Amino acid sequence: MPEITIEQNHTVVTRITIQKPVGDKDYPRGAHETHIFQGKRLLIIRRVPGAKPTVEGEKALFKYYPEELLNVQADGWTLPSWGV
Amino acid sequence: MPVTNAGLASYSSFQSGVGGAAKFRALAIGSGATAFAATQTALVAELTTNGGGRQAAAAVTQTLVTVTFANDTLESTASWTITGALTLREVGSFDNDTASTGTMEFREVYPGDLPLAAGYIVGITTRVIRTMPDNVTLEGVTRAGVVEFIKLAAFDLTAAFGAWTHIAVGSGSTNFADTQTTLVTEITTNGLARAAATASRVTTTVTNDTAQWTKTFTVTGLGAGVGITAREYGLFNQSSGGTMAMRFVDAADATHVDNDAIALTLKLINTGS
Repeated sequence: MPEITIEQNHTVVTRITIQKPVGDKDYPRGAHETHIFQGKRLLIIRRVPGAKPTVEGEKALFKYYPEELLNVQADGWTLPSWGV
Repeated sequence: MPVTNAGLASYSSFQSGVGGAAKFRALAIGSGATAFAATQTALVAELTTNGGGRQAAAAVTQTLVTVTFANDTLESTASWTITGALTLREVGSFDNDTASTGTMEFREVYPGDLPLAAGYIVGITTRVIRTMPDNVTLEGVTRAGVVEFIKLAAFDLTAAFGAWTHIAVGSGSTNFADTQTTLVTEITTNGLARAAATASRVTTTVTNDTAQWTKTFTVTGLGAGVGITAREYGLFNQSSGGTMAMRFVDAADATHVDNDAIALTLKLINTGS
């Protein structure tokens, strides 16, 4: 009887969520943004309802993270699936 | 390939019951930018200050979630409230609550620094997804076996049984399907009844990445001129009932007579990606 060999693969996916307070200059008081990363890229930027970043605020965000992480896939409240 | 070699060896320990691996229970973050290597055993620069310290089991929530089939994936979550400037670049899973200690299951490195400051809240969610080769018809790991394995590996979860211990022989010829939970026609007589196997860990690609079970059955009690057909083989965690982890179906019937020895070696190779 030959030996029986079966393979089991284990795949890891990580998602990082960073909630950062934002200043009164660009956002309403108490506003915050949530930035969610998965694997190698920024998946989504969530802002508290009503928070309208100024153009300067947007520029600040894109200075904040390295270019490699700013392959933005979506901008809203619905996260893409984990398979993204 | 974020699963480490040490993580694969722990997996084979959970499967075989050999080696005494501890369940994975803690999540840590770090600032190290060094690329992942499967030989790594710790984060490159684990954070320990300003709220960035390792989150112990009590602060990590582990649950089963569904990706391909029900409960095939372990999801672990934890959060950190940052109290001062830090840089986040790497994430790791460990079997010990103490910083810079224990077996590292996996490590993921991000391509850029994520700067953190006081008032930031960081959440980490990790998923370890189990997959098998596609288009298998004669052998494979069962869905029930995958779920039971995850429970053996996760601190927050309780397995129904322990590691896999017994090999069963049957005569069924039905192709393998990962939804199967028993042999099609398990044999319970003539020396071929389910029996305890010798479990061990062996090396296929990296040290102890493979769980192995061996058992030699000897056919008895048939009488002269009488044969018995064996065609399928399964790995279980109980002497009866229990969870079938894997099933193998031979391409043709094998007819055995008294005193025939059937030497079986089952190997479950763990790989990471």
